[in-house]
Amino acid sequence: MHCTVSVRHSGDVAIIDLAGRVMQTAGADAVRDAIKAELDHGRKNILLNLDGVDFIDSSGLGTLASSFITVSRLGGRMKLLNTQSRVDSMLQVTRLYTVFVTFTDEREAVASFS
Amino acid sequence: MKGHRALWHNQAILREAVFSLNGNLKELGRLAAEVSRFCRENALTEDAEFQLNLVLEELFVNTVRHGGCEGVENSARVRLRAVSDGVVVEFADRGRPFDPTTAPAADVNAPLAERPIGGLGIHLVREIMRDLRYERAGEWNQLRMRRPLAHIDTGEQPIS
Repeated sequence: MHCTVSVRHSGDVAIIDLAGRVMQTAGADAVRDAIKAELDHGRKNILLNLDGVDFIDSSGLGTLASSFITVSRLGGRMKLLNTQSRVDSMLQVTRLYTVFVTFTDEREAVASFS
Repeated sequence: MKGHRALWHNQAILREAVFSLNGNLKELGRLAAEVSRFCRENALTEDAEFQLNLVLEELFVNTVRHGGCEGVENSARVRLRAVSDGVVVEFADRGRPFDPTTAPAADVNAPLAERPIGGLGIHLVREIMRDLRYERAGEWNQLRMRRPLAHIDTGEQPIS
């Protein structure tokens, strides 16, 4: 019932790898904190890798949305990588797919920030 | 109030799950385990398990966080029943009166920055489930709904 968060960098892109469950009771705060830490270090290009995320609830989706707004207001960009089918369906139902640019290839995703 | 029993339905052995939850978010692990076992026993898809778990998690967390159920023993009870056209879900809680069928949901068509905080969980419940019926019975909120067999599935195979 937990979420793991780890951060890598590729050029000026912060790649945040998530795995597990992103929900109100576990994970959502960790995701928000990881993004904030990158912004605090001046890294405004955020790529969230959701490859290992097998569950996301309304709070997790809310965290993605609010983080997107925060990053955008600071002049940065936030994109998604490797969203799994169930997360995809939640993005569809909440119409957040209209907001996020998603990729299935990491190299292509990183290059898109250039 | 906890357990599974076999039922005859449409000449197939289907099982139902009935269990209670205490008003503590640590119960989410048990909730997920109960849903998982129910889905496995009824050969439901992983999508069905994901959606049932999501809906029940949203409702249960709401009762604990906002309904006054935190710390209340047996604050919620759940009944899952496999039927020919899906899964009938009954969720009851002893929280403040709250009707999810009429409560304001998030406006997902509004620009992102203008969307109000909250309401997304109710929106998900309404999108995933069908035939939602609410009633207040004594100190209980009672919500009955159905998760159709093929809804926003992604075409995955039943859990082996």
